[in-house]
Amino acid sequence: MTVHHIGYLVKSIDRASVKFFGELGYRNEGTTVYDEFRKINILFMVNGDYRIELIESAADDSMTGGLIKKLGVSPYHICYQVDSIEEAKVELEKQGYIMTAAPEAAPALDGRRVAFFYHRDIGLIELLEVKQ
Amino acid sequence: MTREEKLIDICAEVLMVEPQKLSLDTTRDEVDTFDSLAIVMIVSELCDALQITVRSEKMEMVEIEKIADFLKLLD
Repeated sequence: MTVHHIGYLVKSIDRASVKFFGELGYRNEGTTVYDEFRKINILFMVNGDYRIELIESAADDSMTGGLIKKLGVSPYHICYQVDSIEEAKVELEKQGYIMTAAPEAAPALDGRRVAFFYHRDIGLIELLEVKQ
Repeated sequence: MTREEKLIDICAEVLMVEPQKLSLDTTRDEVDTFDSLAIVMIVSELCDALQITVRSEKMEMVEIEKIADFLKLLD
């Protein structure tokens, strides 16, 4: 699977993006987008072939509110591109992955669908559906 | 070790709580670390320990409000 981005939990997109831009050479890819379903703000940044997704909780009951309390500011998932989430799900479940978030459109990714899976040996991954 | 004892051990490890403080009746409200990611982690550890597979559709059907609810996934 091709890597699309690395998801990065941050407390403040404004503060984190300044650091990624200033010291680490990343540039913004678009602007910050509010994901109403997940109650998070998202900003993509790129540095050469590497893309990161800065994720900031926008409400106490957001999808990542508990995670940042548990993990702190940190990378926490790698997103992979797939042709079909449903087809990939069948294969991943055979390998012991458990779906933690069912496929939903992601406003920050042009409405393309994403889903999350967990495996005890590697943690969380995200699948981004990129239909040809 | 019974599967109930194994479940308590796994929950204690994932939730970072002493096993003696947990029972099958312990609810999510009673343990701060008992969140949605912890539920998935517990199911994943259970699958590995018991050499079983739990499909996503079954997980969606079972509401986990207390530790005993994990046993419904094994039926």
